[in-house]
Amino acid sequence: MRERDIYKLVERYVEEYFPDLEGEARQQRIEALCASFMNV
Amino acid sequence: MRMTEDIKKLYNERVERFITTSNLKEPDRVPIMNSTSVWAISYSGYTYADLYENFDLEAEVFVKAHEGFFYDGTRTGGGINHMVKFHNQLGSFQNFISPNAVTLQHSETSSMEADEYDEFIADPFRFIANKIAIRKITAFQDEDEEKVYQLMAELFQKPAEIRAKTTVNEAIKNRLGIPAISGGGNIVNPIDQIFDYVRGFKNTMTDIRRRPEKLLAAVEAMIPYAERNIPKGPLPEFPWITDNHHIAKFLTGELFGKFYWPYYKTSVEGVFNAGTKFLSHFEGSWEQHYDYLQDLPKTSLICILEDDEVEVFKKRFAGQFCIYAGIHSSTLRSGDIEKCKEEAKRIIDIAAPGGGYIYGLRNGLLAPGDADAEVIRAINQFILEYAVY
Repeated sequence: MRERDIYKLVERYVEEYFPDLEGEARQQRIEALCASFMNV
Repeated sequence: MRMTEDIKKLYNERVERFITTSNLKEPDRVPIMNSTSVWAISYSGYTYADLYENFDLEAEVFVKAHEGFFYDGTRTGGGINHMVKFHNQLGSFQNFISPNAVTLQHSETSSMEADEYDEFIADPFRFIANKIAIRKITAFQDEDEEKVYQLMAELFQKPAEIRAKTTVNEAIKNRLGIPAISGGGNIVNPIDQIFDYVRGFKNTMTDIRRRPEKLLAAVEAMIPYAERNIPKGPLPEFPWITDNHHIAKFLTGELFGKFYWPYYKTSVEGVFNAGTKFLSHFEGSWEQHYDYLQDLPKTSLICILEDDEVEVFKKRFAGQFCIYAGIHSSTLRSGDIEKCKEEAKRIIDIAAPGGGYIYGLRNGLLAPGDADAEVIRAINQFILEYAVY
């Protein structure tokens, strides 16, 4: 199985699409996006 | 399409009927729910696959399954799950269309080994992204990282695109004046997420016995995220917020108290304090959990009873919770209208007096053989005339 840092890609996505988010709000967005993988 | 004045009047009357009922008062008559789910698709002669990304057809199909059946409310879930097609394209087959293309199926998945609990507990979201997502979504294993990033971005953006195009509930509301009772959203218990998506049925049930501390720590690691999904309000009293409880029926009293109850209680109370109510689908029987439920606020719950005895529940919770129940799917499948009416009458006679009762099938209908349209119509017409206060 490939070792890939998907979490880092999620951080990049949030940086790119939600540049105004900072601190806790940014972290919560990352967590919500990661959690959405469960239902795929 | 906007509502005509006549439809608007019908819609408002129906909303009022649900609000009155949920506050444990007697409305003019017992509200009748549509729980026909994806049975609607075969009723119109289509398959699940026919509706993929065909949003106009989807709306037509679901409107047709509500027309002329005397329904006061719906619980369609907003139509089909359009995301499944994309998930399959990405290599994940957790959900997939049945071989005959008629219904959606779910395969049990376990994406975490028992010895990985500590890693999950330390940072559940990093683990979900770097382990679970890669294992489930084979497209994420591609060597081209940029390609993976673009697919991931599409995966994140697609739900909003689909929501914008989906008009099922809007069409049912605007054309028939029927409200979606669970339109307030969905809340999922963290242990149901672990059960459904992380460890699967068999492994979670094993973990409860062999490594309960690890499982509990994993649930607790998800709690801060799950608590953020509980609305803070203020919210309108209607529509309600919902959840289908998957693992709860397998947890005997003490285990329910340990693994399920803390978040369940927080979410029911949170929703209630925000101004609305929790439409709680008790999968299986919850009789073994009744001692816990008695601590919840009066009128905070609308309880969909699947296998619970209506008489026992009413005796215990009359004056506390609203009951949502109807004839069993096996009776409906028999196609015997008189037998169905008899069962419906028995339930109405028990549950309706004093208010706080919604008539609705205990399970959603899926396959074409689950029900005959004329039988449903005949039962609903009987309830419309019989269940009057």
